[in-house]
This record gives sequence, C-alpha cells and structure tokens, in this order.
Amino acid sequence: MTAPVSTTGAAVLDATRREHAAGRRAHRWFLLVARLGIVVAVLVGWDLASGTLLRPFFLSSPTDVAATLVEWAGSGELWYHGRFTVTAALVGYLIGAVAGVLVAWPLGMVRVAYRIAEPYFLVAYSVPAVAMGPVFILWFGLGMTPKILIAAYFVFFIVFINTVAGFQQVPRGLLDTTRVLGASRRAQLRTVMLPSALPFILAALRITLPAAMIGAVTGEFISSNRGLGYLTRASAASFSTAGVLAGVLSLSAIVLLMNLLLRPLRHALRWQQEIDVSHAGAKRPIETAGGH
Amino acid sequence: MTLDVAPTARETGRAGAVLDRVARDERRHRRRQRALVWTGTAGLGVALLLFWQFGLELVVNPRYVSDPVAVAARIGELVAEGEILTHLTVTLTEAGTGFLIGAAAGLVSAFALASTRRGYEVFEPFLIGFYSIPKIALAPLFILWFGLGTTPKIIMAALLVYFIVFVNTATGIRAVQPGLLRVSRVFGASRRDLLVKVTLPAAAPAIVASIRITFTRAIEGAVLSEFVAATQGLGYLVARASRAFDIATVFAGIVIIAAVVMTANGLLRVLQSRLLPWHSGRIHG
Repeated sequence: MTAPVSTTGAAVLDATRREHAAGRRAHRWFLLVARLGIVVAVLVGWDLASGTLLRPFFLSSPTDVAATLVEWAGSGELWYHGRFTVTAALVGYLIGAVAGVLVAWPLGMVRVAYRIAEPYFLVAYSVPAVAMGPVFILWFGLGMTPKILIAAYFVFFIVFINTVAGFQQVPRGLLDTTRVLGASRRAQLRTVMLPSALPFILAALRITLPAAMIGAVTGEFISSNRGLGYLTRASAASFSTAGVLAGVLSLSAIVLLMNLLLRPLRHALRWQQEIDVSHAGAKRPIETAGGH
Repeated sequence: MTLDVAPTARETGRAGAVLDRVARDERRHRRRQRALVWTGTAGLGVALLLFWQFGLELVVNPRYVSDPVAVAARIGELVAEGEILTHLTVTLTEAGTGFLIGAAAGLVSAFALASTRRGYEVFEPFLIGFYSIPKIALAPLFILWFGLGTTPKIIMAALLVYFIVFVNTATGIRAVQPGLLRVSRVFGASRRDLLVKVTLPAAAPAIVASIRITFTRAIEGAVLSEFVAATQGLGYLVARASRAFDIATVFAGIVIIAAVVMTANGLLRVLQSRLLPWHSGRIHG
C-alpha cells in the first residue's frame, strides 16, 4: 500500500466518521424537539380544550392540577401525606426484603425442603396481593402498620422467589468441583453460592421498591386517614378531579425517583450479565412489579 | 477411554451387574425422595390447618383469624345460596373484558410504534413514565368518571394488562435480529412478508408469555377497583365482609379469588404450551 492511498483512505474514514457524528447529533436534536413538542402540545391542547370542548369537572386542566399541587405544597399537606406513604413503603420494603431473603436462604440450600414447601408458596403467591389488604386492615387497624405489612407482602414473594431461583441455578459443576477440592459447606456458600445468587437478589431488590409503594397506596385506598393514597381517594370522594390527578402525579414522581435512585444497582455487578428477573426462575416466569 | 485388552465375557457381565445395581439404587433413591416430598407436603398442609383450627386461638383472638372449618362452611354457604355465582360472574366478566381490550390495544399499538424506529424512540420516555405510574392510583379517577358500574373496573383491568403486553410486544419486536431482517429484505421480502414471516414469529414467545401472566393482573385490577367502590363482585364481597368484621367471609372470598387465579393460570399455561411448545417464554412483567 502506498502512502497517498492510505492518506486518502484515512481522510475518507475521517469524513465518514464526522458525518456519522453529525447524523447522531441531528438525531438527538430531533428526538429532543419531538418529545418536547409532544409535551407542550398535549399540555396546551388539554388546557385549551378544558372548559370549551371538555368539561373541567371530568378532566380538570393542567393549570388546575398545578395549582392544586402548589396549594398542597404550600399548606404542608404534600409533605405530611407523602412522608406517611414513603415511610410505610420503605419500612415494608425492608421487612419484606429481609424476610424474603431469610426464608429463601435455607429453602434454597436444601432442595427437599423447598420441594416440600413449594406448593404452599405458590398458593400464597397466587392470592392477588391486593386481596390481602382488607385482612391486614382488620387485624391492625387504620394506622401505618397494615400499610407496612401490605407493602412487605408485595415485596416478600418477589424477593423470595428470586432468591430461591438464584440459589438453585448455581452451576452443579462448580459445587462438585469445589467439594472435590475440599471446600467446606461454609466456604462453598461464601465463594460459590452467594456470589452466584447475588445478581438475582439484587435484581429483585431493585424492582420491588416501586412495588412497596404500590402496596402502601393500596392499603391507604382500602381505608386510611393519611397518606398520598388517602389524599387521592379523598379528592375523588369530593369530586375534585384536579386533586386526584395531583395525587397520581406526586405518586408517579416518587416512584420515578425511586427507580432512578436504584438504577446503580443494575451496574453493581457488572461482571455478571444483566439478570432479567422477570424470568429469573428459568423454570417459571416471575412477574415483576412494574405492571400495577 | 480406550481399553488395550478386550474385556472377557465374565468381566463384561460383572460390569453390567454393577451398572444395574447402581441404576436400581438410583431409582430407589429417587422414589424415596419423591415419597418424602409428598408426605412432607401433605404433613405440612395438615399441620398448618390443624394449627389454624386449634392452635391459633391460643395466640390471638379467634375473632380475628376465624378457622378453616368456618371458612369452608362459609364457602359452602356462598356456593349453595348462589350468591357467589353473581359475584364471580361480575368479576370474571370485568377482568375478561378488560383483559381482551388491554391485550388487543397493547398488541396493536406496539406493532404500530415499533415498526417505525423513530416513532418508538420519540415515545419511549413517555411510555417509561406511564409505566411507572402506580396505575392503581387511577382507580378513584375511573370511578369518578364512570360511576359504580362495571366500566371503571374494565378500564382498570385493561390498563394493567395494556402496559405489560405493550412493553413485552415492543421488546419482542425490537429484539428481532437485524441480520434476519436484512437477509430477508435482500431476498426480496416485502414489508408484509417481514412482518408475518420474521417479526411476528420472533416476537411471539414474549407476546404469548406476557398475555398469559396478565390475566392475573386483570383480576387484580377488577378486584381492587371493587374494593374502592362497587355494588357487586368478589372484591365487593371481601370489602363488605371486612367492614362488617366477618372474617370468615373475608377468607372465603380470598380463597375463591385465589382459586380463580390459579385455575386461570393453569388453563393459560396449557394454552401457551400448546401454542408455543418449543419455547418456555421470557417475559417482562
């Protein structure tokens, strides 16, 4: 190869690369503008249509919703109710997650024990979690306890099933090899089982925080006198559509924030391939929490 | 492994006997294991029921926990009176209708959006945003809009189903290997051919699996909306009983809801394995 040709080649390559970069940049701008355009169009359209085409009683309007949010924030209601819901969700999350791992640990290690207990867990898992709400409220009254427990119930099964799955998918060969090489059961647990199950557990922990929020809100819907779920429901009871939408909006903002905060967990175990919890069981697909 | 010397007939016979014995031991071990699991499961179940019937009242006030006999009797009563049939029909109709609407809407919109790459990219953040709305929070809104009848329950069920089916279908479509699409296009496939012969079969497992798991969600949506405000349905039955402090009926309702969910799951699982016998299905809930 002679020098001039390769120079031309490099120049062409360079130009192509530049073009690609420019194309990518243009594409990014296009996306940004299109997305912003949609947001603005929907908000403006909604605001204009409200009161002319649509009855504000049913759909409210963006300004009303914003005004309600500002009012709640100003009167401290948002903080008062939000704190209650978030506390219930976080405490429930902790209880459910710890219980899920602790119950799954021995069952995941001793296969026979798991096989004996499995049908009962499956039955309990197929009780729609929301159906347990009234029971917890009957048992523990209107305070925060039933909300914590409903949240914990939402979290428990997902963490439990994923932890068991994590322990069960440890490659047999690794266990056999380490045993042949003289590892004790404890050493095996520390060096083989836990590192191999950890991605499953972490993935479950990541997806269940929003589930805990949903559990707490469910409890507040059924009966409560505090919390964002209560605020939403009370707004509906007084026919305030703006209030309902403001409640939904603040709940969504919290869930979105939680998802963002938990995102680093996704990369915590970079050497492991990303575990998709939704089918982490391999044998049996596991529902994730996002769909509520 | 290679043998330098051919084994004699006697040696072969002995090896065969050993192998036989090992296989027999293995079979016996497995049989014993299975027997252990069966008796263990049955024993655990009986122990739990006995504890609920006789032991729990020593720990907590029986008014709070009822007992298995009372719950079974209550289920029998509800069935005999025919009351359960009304509630069951209402809830199943709501969940079924919502399920069909949500699944159809999810499929259609996913195909529409995922077939244009740009469209998908533009809408993606909005979908993620909507996906993380706790949709049950919308239940009061739907009741405000549509009253106490079945409509708000159907819409709630449809909404829960919609997002799961949509996300799975869109993921399935976008996961089609671009190489397959390019090769088919080179060989002269039309857009329709691509859709019918490449995209659809590739996305089918995700779609079917997501449709299977969402029926439970549809029932959950219907039941939760019935908790919030309703005049009939299984959720209403449970909520009313819980307000009247009738814990036996609450448990009876929960048992019936769980039975419905398990039956539906079983049927759908069979359906899925018939439709896609080669695939176990991966899903994003």
